[in-house]
Amino acid sequence: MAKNVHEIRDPIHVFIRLDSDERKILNSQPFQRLRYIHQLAMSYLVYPGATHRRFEHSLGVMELADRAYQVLVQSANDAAREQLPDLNGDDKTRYWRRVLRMAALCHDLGHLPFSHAGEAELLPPGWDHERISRAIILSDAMRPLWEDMTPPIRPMDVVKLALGPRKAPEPFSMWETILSEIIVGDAFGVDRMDYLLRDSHHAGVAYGKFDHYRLIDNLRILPPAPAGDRSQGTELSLGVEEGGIHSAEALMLARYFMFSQLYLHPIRRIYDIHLKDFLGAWLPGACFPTDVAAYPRLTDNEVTAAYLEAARRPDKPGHDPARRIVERDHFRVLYSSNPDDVRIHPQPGRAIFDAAVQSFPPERIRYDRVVGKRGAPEFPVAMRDGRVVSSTARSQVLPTVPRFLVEYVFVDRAIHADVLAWLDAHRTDIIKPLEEEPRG
Amino acid sequence: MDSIKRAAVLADLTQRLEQQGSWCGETHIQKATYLAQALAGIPTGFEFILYKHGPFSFDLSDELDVLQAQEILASVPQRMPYGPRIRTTEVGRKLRDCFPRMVGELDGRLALVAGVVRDRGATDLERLATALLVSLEPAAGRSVGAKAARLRELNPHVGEAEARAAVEEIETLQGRAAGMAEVGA
Repeated sequence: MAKNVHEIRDPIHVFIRLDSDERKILNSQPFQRLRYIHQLAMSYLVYPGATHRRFEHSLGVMELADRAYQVLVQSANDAAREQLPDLNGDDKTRYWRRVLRMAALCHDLGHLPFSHAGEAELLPPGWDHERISRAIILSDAMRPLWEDMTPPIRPMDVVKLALGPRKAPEPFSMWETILSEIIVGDAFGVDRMDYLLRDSHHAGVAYGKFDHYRLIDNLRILPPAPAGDRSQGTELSLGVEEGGIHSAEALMLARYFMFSQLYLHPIRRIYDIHLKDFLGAWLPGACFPTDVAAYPRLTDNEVTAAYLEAARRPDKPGHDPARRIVERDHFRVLYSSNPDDVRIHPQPGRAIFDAAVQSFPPERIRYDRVVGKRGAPEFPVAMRDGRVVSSTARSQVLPTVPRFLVEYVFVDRAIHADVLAWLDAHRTDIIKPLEEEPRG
Repeated sequence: MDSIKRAAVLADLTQRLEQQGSWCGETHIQKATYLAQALAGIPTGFEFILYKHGPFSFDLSDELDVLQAQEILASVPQRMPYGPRIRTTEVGRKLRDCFPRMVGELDGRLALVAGVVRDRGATDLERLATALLVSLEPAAGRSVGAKAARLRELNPHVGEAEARAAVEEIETLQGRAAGMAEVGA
């Protein structure tokens, strides 16, 4: 008899098991493409071990989504079952479990080469990798796979759970919203849990580790905490039991440290900018295509081959940024924002950049602003005495987790000393309070 | 409206809610900003969708986070069981004071919104904001009853009388807002 459960070894979750339908998705061309998309773009130029790919991350997200789903379904109380009819009945819970696993598997299918580098600037307005993921899931290439499953899976259900209400324009039921929160939720999305654990493992930094076993075991579907005496909403969402609050704190701190130490590392950021400059010169029309038929030939491998060639050939488009990547001749940090400066001017980096390009060649200066995910999003906590309270009231740690907002100004190292001297001379003239607008 | 002016508007609106004794958590700011934009015509430019507790903007949610990182707004934890309040900081007040002409032009509209939001809980605001969303759907000329039915279709836990009252209140508020001078971007 044919084997229906297949195991894959994984450095984070040890074994990831999938059934034959899921293996068909795994073996499909769009999913196999993820073997050639680095999870952390060019971070391996700073952290040499960070060469892992979206392929294994997507498997990890499926594994964690399934664990979270089993806990949530088994622990759902009568009030949740009353509001969420899909929790009642084995056929329904089995169907949604399959959809959730497929959505977790497919949530990153639309990533561009080198993941996020250049996504905002090199796609047409209104497009992002989520929209491309959606197009791939709904494509002719994947439709037969959904239809052949037993029972068949509605591909739009997969899209909704993989993208969440922020990126999918369709209306969501409360149940669909909760299921999408399992994957892409701001507080307890397993996408984030897996990438923190996996990125930390491969980069060789310890900051991203937290007790995800305990956290997932304590996830619950809960009503919102009151937001004032007359403000009790009704929408259910993901929260934790009181016993899981410290694991939740550890997750939020892990996120903060991974952003501050790894994801927003300035050298990583400037390599992304050089790569973006190269792609802008190399891509026809300075734009990635939106036709999913083009995506099999759009991976890190094609881009790497192109920039290696362009680095050797001054006549090739994008020669200069390609050469900077290959020869490690990246721009250097002139300025990174800090809380003191932000208290004086809301965008000090922008102010410095705008002033610097008046005095130095603009092509030798770059501005970068990164808005990270919120410090620690609020979520409901089920107390041992039966009350549901806000995480910000229950935890002393969560309200103190800083938010990420970093501005960098980079300059060509050939003029770095000159620009730095200029900045020293003009800093207080540039970083100053906004002037009052003239009265009419 | 550029991002700095928009930050000044949000700082001002948050301070007005606070000064009027309103609860001021993210849900209240979300609904107040929706009313400011869709009812009072203040061009803050956020994209709202029907989500948790009625119209909701993920862009605005991100922006509130940025404003807290910039110390223009601050999140203040409350005693259990309550969620945090958001307040305008000294940095936020100084920023707002940089735009006296703009804030002066918007004063009547911001006061209208703050006055509507101040005494309401989340459920009440959800109902009112959803009524506004329904009234702006491309089906001009619908009766109060039809709009109330549509509101209940979107939000089934709203009672019929509550839905009608919300639609009627929105129509009254739209009349008041229409009487105000147009706002430039």
